[in-house]
Amino acid sequence: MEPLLEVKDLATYFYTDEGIIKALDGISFSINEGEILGLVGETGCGKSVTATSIMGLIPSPPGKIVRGSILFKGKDLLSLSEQQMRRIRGKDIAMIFQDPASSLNPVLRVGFQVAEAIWAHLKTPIREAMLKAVELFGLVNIPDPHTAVNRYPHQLSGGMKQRVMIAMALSLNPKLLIADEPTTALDVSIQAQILSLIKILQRDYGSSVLLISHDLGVISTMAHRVAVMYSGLIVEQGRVEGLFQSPLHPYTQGLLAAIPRVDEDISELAVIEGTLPNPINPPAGCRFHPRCPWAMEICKSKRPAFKAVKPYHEVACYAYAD
Amino acid sequence: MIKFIIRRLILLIPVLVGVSIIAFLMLHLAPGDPAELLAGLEASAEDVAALRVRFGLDKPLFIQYFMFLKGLFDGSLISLKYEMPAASVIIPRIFNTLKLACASIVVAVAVGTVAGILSAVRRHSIVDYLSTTMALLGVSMPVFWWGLVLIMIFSVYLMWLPSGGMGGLRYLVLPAIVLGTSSAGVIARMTRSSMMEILRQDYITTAKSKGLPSRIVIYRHALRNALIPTVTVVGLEFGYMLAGAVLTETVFSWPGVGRLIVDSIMARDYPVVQASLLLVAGLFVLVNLGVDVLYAFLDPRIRYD
Ligand SMILES: Nc1ncnc2c1ncn2[C@@H]1O[C@H](COP(=O)(O)OP(=O)(O)O)[C@@H](O)[C@H]1O
Ligand SMILES: [Mg+2]
Repeated sequence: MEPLLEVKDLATYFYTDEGIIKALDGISFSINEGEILGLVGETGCGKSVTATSIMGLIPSPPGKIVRGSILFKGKDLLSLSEQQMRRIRGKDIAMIFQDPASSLNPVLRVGFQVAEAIWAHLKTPIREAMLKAVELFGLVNIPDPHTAVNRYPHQLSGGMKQRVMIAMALSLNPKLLIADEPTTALDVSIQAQILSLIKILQRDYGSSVLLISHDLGVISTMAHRVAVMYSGLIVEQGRVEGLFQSPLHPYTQGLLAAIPRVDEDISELAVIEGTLPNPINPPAGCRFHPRCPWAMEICKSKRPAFKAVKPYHEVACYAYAD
Repeated sequence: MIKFIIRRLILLIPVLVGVSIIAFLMLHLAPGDPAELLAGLEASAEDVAALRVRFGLDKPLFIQYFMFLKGLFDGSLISLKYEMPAASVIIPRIFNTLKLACASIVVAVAVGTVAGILSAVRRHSIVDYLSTTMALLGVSMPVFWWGLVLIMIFSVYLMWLPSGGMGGLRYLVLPAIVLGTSSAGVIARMTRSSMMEILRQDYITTAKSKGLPSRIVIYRHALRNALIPTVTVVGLEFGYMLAGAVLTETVFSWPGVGRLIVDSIMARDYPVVQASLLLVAGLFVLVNLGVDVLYAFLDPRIRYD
């Protein structure tokens, strides 16, 4: 079966005064129908840029997609006109963002902001679309939806705002939902509620989800498959069970070892030495080699290719190049 | 909201009392005797003294102040220069000033916001460079020079518009443009910078991610937020237009309150100066109140109770 979304060799650069930031430098992954793909990596590795590249919302200037393709239902989104892309945005591919506090327009009623998405695609009169918004608010468990639609963002809590964002994203029953750190800005107690809401709705609607997080815990409970990103590249991907049980890439191993476990002493927490490389002048070869305990001579000059080491489990690392 | 407006209107009273005291003291402490000026060069000392008594200028300062207040309320305030009720001198002038200020602010807001929006939306384009240069020119051009240039072009050469005086709408065009030019520049800059700031906000990305046409993203989502800081500037500019249009009024022989105040100061026409200043100050406060009310309409986060 053909995947719903197939990203191939995608590279997005930002041309800044300091130099060219290679935020994405050739990433490839795919998402199947009804699948949740988790995208993990440290802050600054390019997760949000991946999301905005798919949405066609890279700010330009300074940003530019310099190569690759983004096939959605077999059609390359990068070849579409702005007009055509706009018909896909919000309808076929919808997105929710990290910070619900800043993602809603402060001067418009939240119900209107949802209704507007419906209007944009179906030309439903706003009055009717508002009724749909009430329905959606009920679906995402916002109490008293009739009153809530008439509220302004500042009158709602963070969790409620994120529910509004989810209602907005689901309003047109999108095939793909991109959730960029949907719970990072929320209280721990609210996080679980929002995540389970996304999971339930994903199952009921049969949508696919690109779930972005720097939190491996979130990914392991939510995703079917995982892609691990490091400095603008994907270094490992596979099914959640396999990847979490036996991570292959030394970076993934480091990330997993850094998760505090209830049954372990916190003080023995392992951390990967060093920091994310400067995206303007990334190291040649494998970008992880300066921090890698296994670094070899070849790692310093040539970028490793992806290799399926096990079924459904691929890694880009010379340690597995028999 | 109603409560807020009433509270602000009550606050107007101490403001006006303050303004009246300051205006009163400044005038009376400044050198120059209105009686001498009125009597003329050939007048005898007795003539001057008689005038002084007639206008109550021989009384102690605080008595004069209370006479002024009383005159304000019962309409007995008399202009020393024109020797007629101060109200009938001032009121027509105030209306002329309001007419000019309203026309100018309309010009300034229309030109300024459009230029600011275009600049922000197409920043670093030709349009942006043109409009920021014009804004800079507008802010720094001397009113006298700019007024004369327009008169040269439109009155002298093209003969499309009158060069001064009052009458129909045609008389309003040139002075409104001249008085509105610097405000248009200020408003354009403010709109540009706040618009650029707003276009970077997350909720603009959200609006785009819904698939809204860019027209809607700009006008519905960005502009309403960008107008909030712009409204403050518009209010201030309008306030200055009420009081500070002397130069424009002079160039176009426009009988407004700014020129009246200056002329009356020259003639030491105390009652007219004081009453005009009071009126202008009151209008200034009302304009600010209007701005605050407008705020609440634009920004639901602002509540005044
Ligand atoms: N608008 C932009 N201009 C310049 N650089 C950007 C811009 N957006 C993102 N970047 C750069 O791209 C890289 C990846 O950022 P991002 O995708 O936001 O990381 P994260 O994985 O934390 O979401 C960072 O180095 C960031 O500085
Ligand atoms: Mg991010």
